[in-house]
Amino acid sequence: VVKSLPQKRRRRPANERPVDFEEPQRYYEIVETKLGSAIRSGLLRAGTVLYEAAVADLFGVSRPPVKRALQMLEEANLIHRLNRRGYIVGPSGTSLQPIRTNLHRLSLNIMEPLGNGALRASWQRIYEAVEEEILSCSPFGTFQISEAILCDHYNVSRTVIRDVLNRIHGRGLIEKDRWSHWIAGPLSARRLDEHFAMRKILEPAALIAASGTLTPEFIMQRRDRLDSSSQDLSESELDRLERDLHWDCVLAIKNRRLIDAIEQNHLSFFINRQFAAKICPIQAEPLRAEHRLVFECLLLKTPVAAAAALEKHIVAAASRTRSRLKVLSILKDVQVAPYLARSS
Amino acid sequence: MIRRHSRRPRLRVLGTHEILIEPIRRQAESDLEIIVEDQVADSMDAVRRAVTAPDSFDIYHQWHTVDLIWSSRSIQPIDTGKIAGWNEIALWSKDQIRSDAIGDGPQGALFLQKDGTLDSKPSDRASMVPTLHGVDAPGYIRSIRNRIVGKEPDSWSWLLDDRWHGKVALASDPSVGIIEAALALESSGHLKFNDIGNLDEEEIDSIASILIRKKKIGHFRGFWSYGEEAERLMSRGGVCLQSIWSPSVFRLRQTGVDVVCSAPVEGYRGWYAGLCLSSRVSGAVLEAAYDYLNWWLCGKPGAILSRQGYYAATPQRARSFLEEKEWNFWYAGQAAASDLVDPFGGGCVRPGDIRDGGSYESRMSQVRVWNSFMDEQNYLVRRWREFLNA
Repeated sequence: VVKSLPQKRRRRPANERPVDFEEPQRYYEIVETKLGSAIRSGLLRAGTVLYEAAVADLFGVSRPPVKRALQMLEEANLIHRLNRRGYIVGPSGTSLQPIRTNLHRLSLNIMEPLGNGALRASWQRIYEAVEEEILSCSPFGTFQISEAILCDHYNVSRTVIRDVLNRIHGRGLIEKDRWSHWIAGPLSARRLDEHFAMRKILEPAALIAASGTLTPEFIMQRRDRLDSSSQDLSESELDRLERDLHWDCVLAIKNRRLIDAIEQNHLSFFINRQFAAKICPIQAEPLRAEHRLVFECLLLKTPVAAAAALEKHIVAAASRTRSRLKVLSILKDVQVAPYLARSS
Repeated sequence: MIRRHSRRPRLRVLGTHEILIEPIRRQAESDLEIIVEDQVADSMDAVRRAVTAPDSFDIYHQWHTVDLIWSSRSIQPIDTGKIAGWNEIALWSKDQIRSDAIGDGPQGALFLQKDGTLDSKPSDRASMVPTLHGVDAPGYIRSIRNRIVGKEPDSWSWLLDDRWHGKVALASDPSVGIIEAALALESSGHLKFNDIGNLDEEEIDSIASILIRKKKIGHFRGFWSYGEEAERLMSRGGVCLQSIWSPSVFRLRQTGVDVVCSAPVEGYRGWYAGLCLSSRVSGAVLEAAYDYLNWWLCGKPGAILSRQGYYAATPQRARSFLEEKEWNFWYAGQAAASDLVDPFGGGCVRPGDIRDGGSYESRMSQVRVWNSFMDEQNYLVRRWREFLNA
C-alpha cells in the first residue's frame, strides 16, 4: 500500500537519534552510570554483592534495565558473576569474600537523575512530540504510521511505541484500518465540531470552579497582554493569548479528570495555529473582544457571567475555526514526520 | 464612468482558462487604456494562489470560492456604490429556480455583514462583482447515445452506469467532481443525501468508496482539470460521456465531434463567477481595478463569453452587444438563423441548431444544486485525492 516506507527507513540508520530530540537518559544508562561511578569512587567496595532484585528496588525500576546495566558493568570488568541472581564488585578472577550489604544505606545519590523526570515512563517522554506530529499531518490527508520507523526515529522499543499510539488512539486522533495499520487523518469538520461541543460543555463549568483561585492581578496581567497584542496575530502570539485564557484561567482547577477531559478537545487550537503558520495571521478581533469580556466578568467577581461569555466565545470560535479548516483544504504537499507515509 | 489615465496602469488578473480568454483581455485593454496581465491557472491552482499569495494578483476572477478567500483575508470588500449596474445583476434567487434546489446562487456569500461575515443580506459592501453564471451537465456523443441507453431521458446516473463502462471521464476538481458523483448516485437510487450541496463525512466516505471501486474496475477512462483536456478525451481519448463545460461542447462541435450537453431530468449543477479585489490592492491600481469591475458589467465582455455558452450577469446589457440571431440562439432558445461564431471567430453553431436545454430561463430555472465549498471541504479534498490516485 505504501511504497515509500522502506526507502524512508533506509535513510535513518537504526538507533541513530534525531538531532533535535533532547532525550533524557534511559533507565539502564542511569543504573550503569551510577553504579559504575560508585565502584570507581570506592563507595561500593570490592566484594559488595549486587543482586538484580536489590538494585531494581534501590532505583525503583524493573529488572530488565538493571540486568542490562549489570551486564555492561561486567563487560567493563568492574563486576563479575557471583551466582545466577547476582554479581560481585571487582574484576573477574579475583577471589573476594562476598560482602552482603543494605544498598539503601549507601549514599549513591540516585535522586538527582530520578528527580529531573528521567524516570518518567518511556511513553511519556515522547508522547507529546508524537501527538503534535500526528496532529500536524491530519488535516492534510490520510497517513499510515510506520511503527518500525517510529521506533527508529525516537530510538525506543515497539512496546513503548504501541503504548504511545494506543493513548493517541484513545484521544480519537488515529485509528486502525482493516489491515491493522495505524492511520491518521483526514480531519473532518464534524470531528472539529465535536471537540468544540465538548469544550462548550466543559470549559464554562471549569471556569466557574477556577474563578475563586484567580487573583485580580493574575487576570489583569492577562487582560493587559490582550490589549497590547497586535491586530494580526502570529502563531506564537495567538498561542500566548489562547493559553492566557484557556489554560491559565480555565484549567486553574484541582480536578485532574476535568482537566484531562478538556485537554482531550484541544484540537481546535491546533487548527488555528496551523492556519496562522501556513495561511495568514489571525485577525485579533473578534477573539480579543471575546476574551476581554471573560476577563472583565472575572474581575467583577461574576463567574457565572464569565462562564456565559466563555461559552459564547467558544461557539463563535467554532464557526471561525471551521472556516479556517476549509481554507487548509487548498494546501497539498506539507512536510510530515518521516514515519508518516501518505496512503493515497 | 470610465476614467482615463495618463500612464496606463497594469492590472494582474488571476483566473481560469475558460474565462480569461484573449478576446476579453484585448477588449479590456482597448476600452480602458490599462494593461491587463492575465494569470491563467486551473481552478484549484488559482484558488491556491489566491489564498497563499494575495500580493501576486490585483483581481481574482473566481468561481464559488468567495467564502474561502474571505476567510484567508485574500480579498477586500467592494463598495457597491462605485459599481454602475449593480442593481441589474441577475442573482437567480431561490424563488426563481426549481423548488428542490440546494445551495446558494451568486447572492449566497455576496454581502459583508457588520460582524465581518458574508451573507445574502444586502449591504453596501460586497465580496465580489458577479459576472457570469450558467449550468453544467454531462456531455455525450450524439451518435452512440441511443445505442447505449435507448430513448431514456438524460440522467446524471449515466456517469456511473455500467452501460457506459470504460467510456466515462470526470472533472478532477474535487468540488465539482463530488457534486456530480453525488447527483449520479442519488439519481440512480444508490444513495440518498441529507443535503447534496453540503455532504457530511459518512456521505463523502460512501461516495469515495463507490468511486474508488468503479475506478479500479476500469469504469473511468480519464479525468480532466481544464476544458482542453476534456476536449482531447472526447476527440481522441475514447470518452463518450463526461462532465463537460459549455465552451468545450462548442469547440468540439467545431472539430466535428458532435457532442450534446445533456438536460438531465434531475436538473443541472449551477455555477457562477465573479470578480474579487485582492486585499493588497490600493491607490491608482485600485482605481483601475474598479474601472475593470465596472467594465465587466457594461455588457461587452458578457456578450463575448455568451458566444461560448455562458450567461452574463447583466444579460440585457450584453444583449446590446449581440446580434439578434445570437441573442435568439444563446438566450431565447430559438433555432439559429445562420452560422454563429464563438469568441475566437470560429463557427460553432450551424443554421437550424437549437441550444440543448432551451432558453436562458428554462435552463437556469433547472438548477438542482449550486457549486459550493462544503463544510467538509478539507475532508472531501483528501478523500477525492485518494480516489484520483487509486
